[in-house]
Amino acid sequence: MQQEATVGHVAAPDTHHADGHHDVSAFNLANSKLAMWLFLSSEVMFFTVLVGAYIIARFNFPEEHALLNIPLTSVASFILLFSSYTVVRAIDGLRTGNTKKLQRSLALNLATGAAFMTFMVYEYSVLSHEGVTISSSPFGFAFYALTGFHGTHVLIGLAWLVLVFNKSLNGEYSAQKPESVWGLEMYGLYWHFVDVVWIFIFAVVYLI
Amino acid sequence: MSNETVPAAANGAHTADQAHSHASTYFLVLVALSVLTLVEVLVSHITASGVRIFLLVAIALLKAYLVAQYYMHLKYENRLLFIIFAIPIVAATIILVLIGPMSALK
Repeated sequence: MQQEATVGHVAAPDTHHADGHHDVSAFNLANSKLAMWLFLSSEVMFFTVLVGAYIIARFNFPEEHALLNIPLTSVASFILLFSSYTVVRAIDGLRTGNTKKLQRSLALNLATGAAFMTFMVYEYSVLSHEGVTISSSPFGFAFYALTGFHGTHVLIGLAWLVLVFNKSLNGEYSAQKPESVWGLEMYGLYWHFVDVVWIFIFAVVYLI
Repeated sequence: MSNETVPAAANGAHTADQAHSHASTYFLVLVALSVLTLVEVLVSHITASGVRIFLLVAIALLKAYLVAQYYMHLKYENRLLFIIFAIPIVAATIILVLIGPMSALK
């Protein structure tokens, strides 16, 4: 792989290569970065549909909404917010050459992500005992569809994190390898997006 | 390994002036997000539904803004990325604000 830049050394933006290959868009953005942000933007609309369906069900089934455990999900929200902090801390560790900080932050990220999923599983268990299931009512369907898809995104993030963590243990990340920094940042963007979605779910589903 | 060849400014690798630690900023953002979450929980006890919904949506938008700007680094990125991400967020907010009152109609 041809390297044009390293951290701390800026190469002039160049969208043309000897082989005629273009991998930087006309906006001076790496195609992979542009693609990631377009993907995340499309995900916003995906979750908007699910939140919209939930709002309709929520107004028509207020008694089932009363069964949601606000204190429990508040703790889960703090944990997910903290997990986002561990990701930026990991990237900060990589950029500053602090491998221990990188690995510890990723380990903490794994722990907090798993803790969040544990909270969600516990909540599902309690709600199903209360009679709120995916087939019990439109509220149940909308609630489980929205939080279930979010949980699936968290699980995908955790699977990605395991790969990222393994790479960090194998010393594959280095501030001297810009592509490795970007690899970690790609994961970070995904995880933060999952956090942003939860911010809205927490407000709309649980608090309103 | 990626086959991409990209300049540092385009792929997100930070330049010399950005290579220093942002740890204190990240921690301050975490504190702000935690305080806002606490405020959200307190606001959820407001009985006037219009005020409650307005405040909760406003706080959620502020929290999302903080995460996007500082944790997702939109603050330091190409303006185009901010626009790409802001368009669906604005569209989503409009759609959901319209769905709210409509769903209350029977």
